[in-house]
Amino acid sequence: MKTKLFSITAIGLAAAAFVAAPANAQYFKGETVKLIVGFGPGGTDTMSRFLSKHLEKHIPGNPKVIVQNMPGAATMKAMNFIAHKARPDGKTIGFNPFQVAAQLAGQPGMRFKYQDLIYIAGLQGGPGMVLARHDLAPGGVKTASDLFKATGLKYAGRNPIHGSDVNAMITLDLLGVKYDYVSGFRNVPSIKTSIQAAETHFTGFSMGSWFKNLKPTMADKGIIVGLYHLDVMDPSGKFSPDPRYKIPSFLQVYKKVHGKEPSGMIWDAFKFYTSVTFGGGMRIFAPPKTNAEAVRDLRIGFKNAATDPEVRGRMQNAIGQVLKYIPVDVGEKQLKTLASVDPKIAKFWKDRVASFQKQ
Amino acid sequence: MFDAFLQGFTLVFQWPTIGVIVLGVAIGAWLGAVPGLGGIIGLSILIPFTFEMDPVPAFALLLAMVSVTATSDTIASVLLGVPGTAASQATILDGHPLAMKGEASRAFGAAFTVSAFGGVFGAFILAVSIPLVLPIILAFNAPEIFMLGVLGLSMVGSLTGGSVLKGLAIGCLGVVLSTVGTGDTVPIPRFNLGTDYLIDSLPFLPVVLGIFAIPELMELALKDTSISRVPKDQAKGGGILRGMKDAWVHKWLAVRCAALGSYIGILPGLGAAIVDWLAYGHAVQSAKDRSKFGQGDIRGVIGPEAANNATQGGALIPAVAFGIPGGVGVAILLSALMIQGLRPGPEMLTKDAHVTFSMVWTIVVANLLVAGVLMFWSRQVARVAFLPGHLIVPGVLFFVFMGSWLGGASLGDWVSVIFFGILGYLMKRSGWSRPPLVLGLILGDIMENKFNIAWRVHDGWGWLDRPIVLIIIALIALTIYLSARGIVSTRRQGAIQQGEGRERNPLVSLMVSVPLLAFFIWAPIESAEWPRSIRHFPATFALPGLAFVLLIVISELRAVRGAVIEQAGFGGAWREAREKALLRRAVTFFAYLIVMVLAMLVIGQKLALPILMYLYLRRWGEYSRKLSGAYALAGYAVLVVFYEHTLHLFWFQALLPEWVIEVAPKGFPTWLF
Repeated sequence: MKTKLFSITAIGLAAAAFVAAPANAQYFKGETVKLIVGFGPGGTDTMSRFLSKHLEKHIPGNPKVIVQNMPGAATMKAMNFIAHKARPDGKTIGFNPFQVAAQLAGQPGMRFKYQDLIYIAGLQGGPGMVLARHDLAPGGVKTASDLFKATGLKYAGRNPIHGSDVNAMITLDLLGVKYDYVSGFRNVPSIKTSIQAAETHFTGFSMGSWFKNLKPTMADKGIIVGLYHLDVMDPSGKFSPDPRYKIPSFLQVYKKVHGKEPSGMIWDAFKFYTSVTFGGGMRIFAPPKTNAEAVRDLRIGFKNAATDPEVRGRMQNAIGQVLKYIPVDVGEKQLKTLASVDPKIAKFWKDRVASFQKQ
Repeated sequence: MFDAFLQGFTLVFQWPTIGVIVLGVAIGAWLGAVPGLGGIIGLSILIPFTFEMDPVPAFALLLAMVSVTATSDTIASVLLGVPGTAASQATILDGHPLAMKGEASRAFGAAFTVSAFGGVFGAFILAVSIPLVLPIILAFNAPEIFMLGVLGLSMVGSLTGGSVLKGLAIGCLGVVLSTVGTGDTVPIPRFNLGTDYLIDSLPFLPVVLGIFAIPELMELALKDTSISRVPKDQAKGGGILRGMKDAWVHKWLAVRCAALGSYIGILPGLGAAIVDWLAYGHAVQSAKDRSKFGQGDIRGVIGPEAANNATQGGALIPAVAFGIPGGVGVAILLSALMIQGLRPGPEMLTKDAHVTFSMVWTIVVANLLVAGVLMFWSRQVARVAFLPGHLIVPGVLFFVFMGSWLGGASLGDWVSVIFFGILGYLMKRSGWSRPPLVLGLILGDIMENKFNIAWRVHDGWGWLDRPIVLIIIALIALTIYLSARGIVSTRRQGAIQQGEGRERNPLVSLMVSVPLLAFFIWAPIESAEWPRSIRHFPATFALPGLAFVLLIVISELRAVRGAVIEQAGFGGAWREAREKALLRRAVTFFAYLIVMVLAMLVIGQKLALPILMYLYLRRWGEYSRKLSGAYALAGYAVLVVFYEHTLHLFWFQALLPEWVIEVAPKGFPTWLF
């Protein structure tokens, strides 16, 4: 029965893919598509390398898909290239984290607005999480409220616009945890060794890093504990915990600590940020004015690759989590929301990032 | 554990693993030997092919390729005076002078022997010291890594050549240049001159290739000579066997440097970039007679070459066991590991220990294999040293330009390579040692990052009393003392006129020191408005830099006054300086390069570079049309086959290729342009 159901689904999917594929799927035939990744090889670019092989199968015309690293300036070098230099033929597209905080804070060096680019697809990572050393408080840290017993806390982070830091620090601020922000760490391993050596005490990570790297090498040994994960926001704006985590969600922790729902300016700014980003993940953008046929075929390719059961089956192993596909209409709506940001919220983000820079 | 050790061994010798190791060695040997290419590029080419392979052969391919680049990169360092990869920068200091004396084979013999030894030693020392690795990593936090950076920088004293002041000033320049681009703590671009090109950092490859390769090539072009200044029949005692014997004589140096390499290799973020310099510094300081260093002392080759191969094994174990990669190359390997479904962690030392040990064995086999093969070929390779220089110049120029282009695929890369080429030439001609610039550039970046973290973590200088920090401070003091003593004793023995940083030409030197003076004044003014955490570091090095340069300018103005009196007028002094530095021909040489870049804006890189090669061979080398044409055609073929179809490079969007893409019918091979 199960096999039958599976094959029916498979046929259905295949038929859907066939229907979705345009009759003249020749635009990319014999071509090469370059995914421009704003990091060096290794680490974050694993996701794009993993997906590139599957995109070859799913983009109509079966182009060769390769990853090109253009590391620098927190992906701004790569995205400036997409916005201003790349030819709008669909053969060069950006595959990078969505740095909304950079745009809200008006980061120098960012020479584009996300809403001016062409949205191809979004790949939503699971919600990020916050972890801490176990030995920070007498009797050991078990929940986030134990952090109130500790003093001299140092948060190990990258920079004030990095997604993991934005999410983790704003939720810590809402909870009322006091800490020093030690910025400038360049990657997961350097934060990891710093915390393991007790040089710094806690940090925020993506779901993939937690399950693939931190949990097996440090949490299972009792060196660190996961405090909470961020709640997932659905397109209607409702928050809920992510069942993949065994640790509580931020809102669960907040209610336990403060006995009510969060509110106020920080919370509004965080809600706005989450509604635009869904917490983080990758966005694939093509240069402005990209050829319409190319945009159509790329959107089909990313959608089919990201929803292919075989690809999803392998993803867990390869990158530590299964990414969720964000459809074009949802992604474009987020960009519209971002473009029409309330000036008060924009100012909050600008001031917040600036306050970290003064330290 | 021992079972897994043996099982790993049998896994490596199974088919297809042993086959892919041979393949990996061949690819790695080539990538290492060509300046501007290297292991990282190899990894990005090869990783897609490993997706469909089993884990053991997949890693065998990647590891074999990466680990042999540190052996074959010696070829470019010795023959051309251009570092083949970042791991063999220090090798050029004595390796290249050996080639100039007609003793390239000897340098190869010694280098390949200790490389193989270092690789094997590094792999084994790490296999047995797995229990020590994590404590070591955890003991080296931000303050310790910062101090190691300072220790590396204090090695500048051993690299300054004739003038200590000039060495220090150039070291400061390197550090200040390392802060170009967006800061780590505050994402504000620094010193980027308003360009996107410098928004992240000053790319490393164009600087290194420009400052080392271009001046060495000009030496060949301007003086119309071969690499070896000694004709082949007069070159004496330079054989491979002599080199191997040298390696045996200095075996304890090789052991010490290999151990240094393996343990430095496990420290995240430091690794390969600095280990060859530390090893070189150690070789100089542990020597009784230092007068030959910089002029072809074989110990200056043995030290770094033993160390850089040992680093590879060192960087691997913490990556697989703890998920902490020591450097970029290993970080990529780690992501390949994950795509294969393995996860770094204790399991790699228990359940999957055989895979870990198969990696150790791969490093061993690959290192031995490449040393054997290169040893066998090195007679042929060393002949290049006796070829007419004009045949070498266009080919190397080609790889220098394409290698720097790989840095950022930006016109800025070519501007940088020419800019640093001019700077490097003037420095070489007037007694400025070039290695401190590279050392400052590498270490400055690490040091600023770690200093900021240490400062924030320990609320200021609270980290100065940590035991390892104190030990490193003692080592720094010792290094400075030994360098100072070395400089004084060399002075007493009389001035040495050869080697890096020893040519005297005060008028030409002023062409370096005066702009440098302006730069050191400008940098602190430019940075005055930035937030503290990204302002301090460049200012801290610009101010002493300014003081050093000021002293240099004063002493040079005096020397110039002396020359003017001697030559009865400024005209005479200038003529003498100009002729000594071959400035006229140098200007013509750079004019060729600049015209090529301008032409490139119109006709594109795939045509401009081969045309430069053709014109150079015809006009400078006076070779036949046939030979020049065939040479240029070969260059064109490499551009199309390797850079276009293998690396999928972004080319400059020049007028002609853009026009071809615009008008060409579907199916037309636009990649020809």
